[in-house]
Amino acid sequence: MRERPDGAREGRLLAALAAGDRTAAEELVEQTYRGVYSLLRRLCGDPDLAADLTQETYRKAWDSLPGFNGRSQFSTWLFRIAYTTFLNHLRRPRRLVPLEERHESAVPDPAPAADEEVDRAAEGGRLRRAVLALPEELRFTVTALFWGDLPVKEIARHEGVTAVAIRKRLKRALERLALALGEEDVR
Amino acid sequence: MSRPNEREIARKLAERESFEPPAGLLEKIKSEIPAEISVGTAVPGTAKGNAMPVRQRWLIAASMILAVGAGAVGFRVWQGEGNRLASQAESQKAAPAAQGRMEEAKPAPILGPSGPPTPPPAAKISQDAGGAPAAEQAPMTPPMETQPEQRKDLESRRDANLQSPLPPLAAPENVPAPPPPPPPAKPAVEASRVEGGVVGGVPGGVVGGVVGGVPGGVPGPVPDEVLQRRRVQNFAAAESPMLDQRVTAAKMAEKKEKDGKAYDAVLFKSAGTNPFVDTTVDRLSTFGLDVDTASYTVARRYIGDGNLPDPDSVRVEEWVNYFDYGDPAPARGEDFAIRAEGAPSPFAHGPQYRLLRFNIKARQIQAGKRRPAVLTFVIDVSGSMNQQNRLGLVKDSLFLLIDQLRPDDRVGLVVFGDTARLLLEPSNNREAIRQAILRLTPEGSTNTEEGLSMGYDVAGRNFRMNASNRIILCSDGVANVGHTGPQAILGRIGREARRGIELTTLGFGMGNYNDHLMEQLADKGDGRYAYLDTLDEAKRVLVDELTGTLQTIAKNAKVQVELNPVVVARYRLLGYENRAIADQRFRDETVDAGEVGAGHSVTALYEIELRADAPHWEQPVATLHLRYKVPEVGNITETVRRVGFEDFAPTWEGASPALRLAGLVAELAEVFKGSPWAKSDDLNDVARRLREVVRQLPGNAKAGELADLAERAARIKAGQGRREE
Repeated sequence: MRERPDGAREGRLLAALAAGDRTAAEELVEQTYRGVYSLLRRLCGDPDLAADLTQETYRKAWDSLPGFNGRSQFSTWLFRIAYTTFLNHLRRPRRLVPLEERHESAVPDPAPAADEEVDRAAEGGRLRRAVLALPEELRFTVTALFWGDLPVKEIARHEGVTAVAIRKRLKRALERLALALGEEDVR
Repeated sequence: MSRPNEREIARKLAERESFEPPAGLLEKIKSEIPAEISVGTAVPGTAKGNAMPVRQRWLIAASMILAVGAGAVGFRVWQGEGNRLASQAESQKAAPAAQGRMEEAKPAPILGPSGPPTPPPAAKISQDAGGAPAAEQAPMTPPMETQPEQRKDLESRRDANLQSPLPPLAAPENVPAPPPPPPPAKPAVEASRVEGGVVGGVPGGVVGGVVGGVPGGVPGPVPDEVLQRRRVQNFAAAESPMLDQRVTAAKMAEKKEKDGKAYDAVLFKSAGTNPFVDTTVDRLSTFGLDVDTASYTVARRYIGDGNLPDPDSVRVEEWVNYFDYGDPAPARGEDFAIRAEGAPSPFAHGPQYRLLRFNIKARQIQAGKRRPAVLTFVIDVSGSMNQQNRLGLVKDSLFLLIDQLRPDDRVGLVVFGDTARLLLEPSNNREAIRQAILRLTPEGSTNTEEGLSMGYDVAGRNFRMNASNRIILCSDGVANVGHTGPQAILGRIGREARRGIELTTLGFGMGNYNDHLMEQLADKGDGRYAYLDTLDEAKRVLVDELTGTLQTIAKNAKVQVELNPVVVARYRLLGYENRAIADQRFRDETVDAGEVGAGHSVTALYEIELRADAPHWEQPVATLHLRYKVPEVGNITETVRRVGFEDFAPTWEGASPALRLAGLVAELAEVFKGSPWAKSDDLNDVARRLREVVRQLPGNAKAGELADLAERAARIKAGQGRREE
């Protein structure tokens, strides 16, 4: 379990940054970039792309920092940027989402049973695609909780709903995932 | 085949393979940290949700998952086999829907029907943050299959007014635009320069403000009142870092440390450089008119002192608008004359490129026919104004102005140092004014806020209908004392401007000069910002152009240029970066745009790339819409000017001297600015070409001066080069 930077420390670093201390920015990066990378790596399944998107996330973060309102934690906010960066990436016409994977997910391979010794990587890929195929609010919840390591409370605050609602979403998401993955297996 | 249960999936999801970031990533990210970072006003403290130790959180998450899993199993058992079959059938329906979604995500909805794959519409997003999102987001979150269960859920949430159908994706638009399309012919290095420029630039006040809070904000349908508040907050967040004294001081200190050259602690803020925009992505270019000229005189001051201008101080439109192009005045009864002309681009990005110049000239009002004026001067007499005889220049400028006054004009004086005090209640007694000016002496620190407050109080109680009521702030722009800081005064400036008291800012001095603050104040106050480096410049602003300074012809003047995508492939607007307005807000009268005074002339330059296969002669190239409010009357007026191929000269040499001068002024400004679009950085070359044009413009003293200036700058640059070796 990676540790998340604590809020008090983030607050201090941001204050230092506001006062013009550039090293505070570096420290914020050091504290958060593993988490961001790991999230993006899970989302896109490609180490190089994840690194690119991580860089892009920080670029956006610096630019939008004036709009950061402090209502959520910095790392939650950063998670949100990383997440939307990834979604934007999916929508971007030219840049690659590994084509063959996209293809796979769009048209499930008719004969996957041929090599039934599904290795871990492929399984991870299926799970990832199943998560990405969830409706947005479920997808966000699952991603934030499991891959972004955000606490339920933070997700709830971010989404403007109660923690109970988030748990309900999670339940729905897991059910759907089970269905989706079960489906693939049955075929 | 066993169907994976929820618990298993939760476990898999939570599996921590170690995803170690690649080596060098940290360094790359760090190297991209910008030199100046603005931080939102609210810095987070310790969030409550955080106090919970990590381990505890995970216990809760794990137990929750267990409960969910157990619950689900139990539920299913209770439902029985029949239900299970039904739910499977349902999921089979769901699966193709999900696949469809993935496919939809592939083709870009933002692309034109026949357009080639284009990079993301960076400029579009940054310019009209509010616009595209819905369409753009749609493919990722289509209304999900309306399973009864889910619909019920959605409804219940709607009832609770907690959530909108589209919330989570609203965030991307808050995040600044992805890198703009790099010019195809330019190497990557240049592309990254553009990116930094644009992204950093586009006024956060407008863009971010409209859209709402960056991630972390409350999603969903928000009551107007909340939206309003959010807008205000965001405005403050975007603006205050520059105006907040603490940050300003820190920045100034940093700047001083960093460059230590030319002048101490001068604060400029670059708004970036406009990128080339693909017309299939965004055919509309919208901006507020800007009649300021300060950026040029600031640079002149730099060069006059033997330094190259600070790149951040260069606003291309202010350079271009400083010069006279001999454009025709409007016909009788018209407020504006609009002229358009074009020629092959001197920026030489390729044979298909053209430079297009629009000139918008306001009608002149004879000095005797202008409205009477009530002018309240708010004069900075702080210690810093004692340097380099700044206050002396202020006094001389005021004396120049007094000679222009008519008997029904009134002038009042408020001075501020540590505190503000009233020197003279607005009066038409010239001798009294003269005596008051003579009494100006430097004192103490700079309390701009109190000075402006008192200025507005004085102007308020001396307000005259049918007169030009105006505050004129004379300062070096450093606000270092004041309880609430200048952002508090910004609100008042806007309110007073709507009430009819406008604010003009006149900048003096260079060390400790805050260009950004002076520009922002005038922009908010619906007035003009001029930088007075010499008495000649004071004469130009306060004598020659007094009518224009005092009498506004058009308020909230906006321009929207529509580039015909059939003819034009790409375009870029030169300058006006910090005047950008979202396309769809062109006809929104609440948007604060530019004010244009009598006789003012505004020039906008576009570099456009024509399509090679364009049906040349039949189609218009571009259409300009000018929209403004007539002051007092309040009528909104819109005029249109179409540009066709007949408006283009066949060669650059065959273009009008006005177009060539404007092109060269812009080129010089772009060179100083370090714009990625500047043809070269060879000042000698620009100076030489300027000379040629100036020869064809006898009697245009300003143009002659510019040629001198370019030559001088070239020598300074050569000298710097030698010193560095």
